[in-house]
Amino acid sequence: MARAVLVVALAVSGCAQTDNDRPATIEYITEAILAPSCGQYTCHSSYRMEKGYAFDTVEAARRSLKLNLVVPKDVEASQLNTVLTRQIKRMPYDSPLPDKDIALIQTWIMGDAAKDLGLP
Amino acid sequence: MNRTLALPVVVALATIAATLGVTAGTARGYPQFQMSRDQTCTGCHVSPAGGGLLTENGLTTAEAISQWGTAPELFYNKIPRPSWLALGGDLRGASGYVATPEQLLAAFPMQAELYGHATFGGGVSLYADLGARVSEVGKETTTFAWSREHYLMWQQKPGETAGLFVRAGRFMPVFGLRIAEHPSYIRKWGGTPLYAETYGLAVEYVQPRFEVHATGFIKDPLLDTPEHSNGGALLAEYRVSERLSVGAEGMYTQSTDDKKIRAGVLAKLYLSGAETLLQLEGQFMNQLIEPRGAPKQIIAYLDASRFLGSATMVDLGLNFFDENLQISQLHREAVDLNLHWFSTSHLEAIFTGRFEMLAFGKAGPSAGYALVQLHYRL
Repeated sequence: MARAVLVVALAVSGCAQTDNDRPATIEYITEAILAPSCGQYTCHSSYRMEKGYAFDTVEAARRSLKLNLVVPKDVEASQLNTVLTRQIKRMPYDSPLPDKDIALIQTWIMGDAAKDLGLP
Repeated sequence: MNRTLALPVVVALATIAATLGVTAGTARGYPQFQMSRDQTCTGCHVSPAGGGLLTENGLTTAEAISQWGTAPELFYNKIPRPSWLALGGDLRGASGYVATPEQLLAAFPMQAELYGHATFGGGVSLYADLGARVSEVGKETTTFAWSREHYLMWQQKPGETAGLFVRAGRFMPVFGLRIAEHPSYIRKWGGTPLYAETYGLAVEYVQPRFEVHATGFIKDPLLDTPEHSNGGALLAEYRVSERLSVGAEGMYTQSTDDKKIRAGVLAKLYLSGAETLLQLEGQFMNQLIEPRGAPKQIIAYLDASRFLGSATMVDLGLNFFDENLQISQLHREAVDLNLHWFSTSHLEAIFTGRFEMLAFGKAGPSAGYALVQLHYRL
């Protein structure tokens, strides 16, 4: 029965799938990726502010990302990319992000990050 | 351990504890007991949605399933209390191995909470808890405690397990299977993550044959909790027979950043020959993100629970989450194994293990943990 559930779910998820063409915007990245995976109450919530960062709302993410986490147009120099991809102290601690979520964040860094964060 | 090495280790362990959401977990009963022991949550719990303080029947069940029994009441019934007041509490802690994918040994507190239920005339009662919580960074001395749940309840038939219940106050919107394990996908991504209690009004009708829970809620106006939305939830469950129940659920939430619409089904089937309870929940979620973006998600959970002898219970749970049906390889899977040993009426030891994959290992590193949890019910 478990296999049947997974097969049905995968079949549904496989219908009419496209490339990673999701909006590379701070709103989408926050609400679809950062808030549910990183903005949990005990970690990067506006209440807890672990390490001084919060990602549970778009405004909180905007404030946190512009601190020192993103260098627009430079993925390798962006601390956000580093913590999501390194092997030691990789974030999120409880379950890593899928490669395509990281790729979308990298696309955003190379694209609209400067505009979204008001950085040069 | 030298200081250079000690600091990163301490920071890492503290972060692990925080990330796992365990410095003040929530106490809930086991839905596994439903069907096999009682038809409704009210059979064992004060709350019509289950969880928290036990009723007299719940205490009797705790004694009956434990290895060595012992008086199940608060402090072994050594402390006198008036008949209109019920008190209880939970303490939890865990230790073990975590690989996410960095491999660490960790030990952390999970929960320290006290509950009280004061019954007044006319079916009116007050339920409140007080416990430790994850404190706000920089304000540890003033934010280490809170009341996660507190509500006024009116019960149509005081002292009975069926009838109409109305609750107003702070509690978790009634939705889903309401399992205790908060890392399960149907809780983490399924609308009821850890500490997502809101202020709300719930109208709940419970009968042996069926139950309906309708909750309207607003985000906590005082504290910044994981739930930033206002909304409503509806859950209905119909027991087709003593061994089978089916249900449907829906939830709508709206915040300043997005809207979420959830619809799902759930089922419980008790296989009496195998003495195994199967529980299933499947959710479809449509998220509308401003100014653009509408990921459609599936969250599913299948669990098989079986008592091994009189005081041991094993759960095998399968979790599935696809964060965007339109994009390939954004799904993840997790297998959970929990082994519970009810040693006395108050003390429970739990081995809990998880192995998690991203798109069956194709979309990133796998993760997992193996922990031993101790739970003492006061």
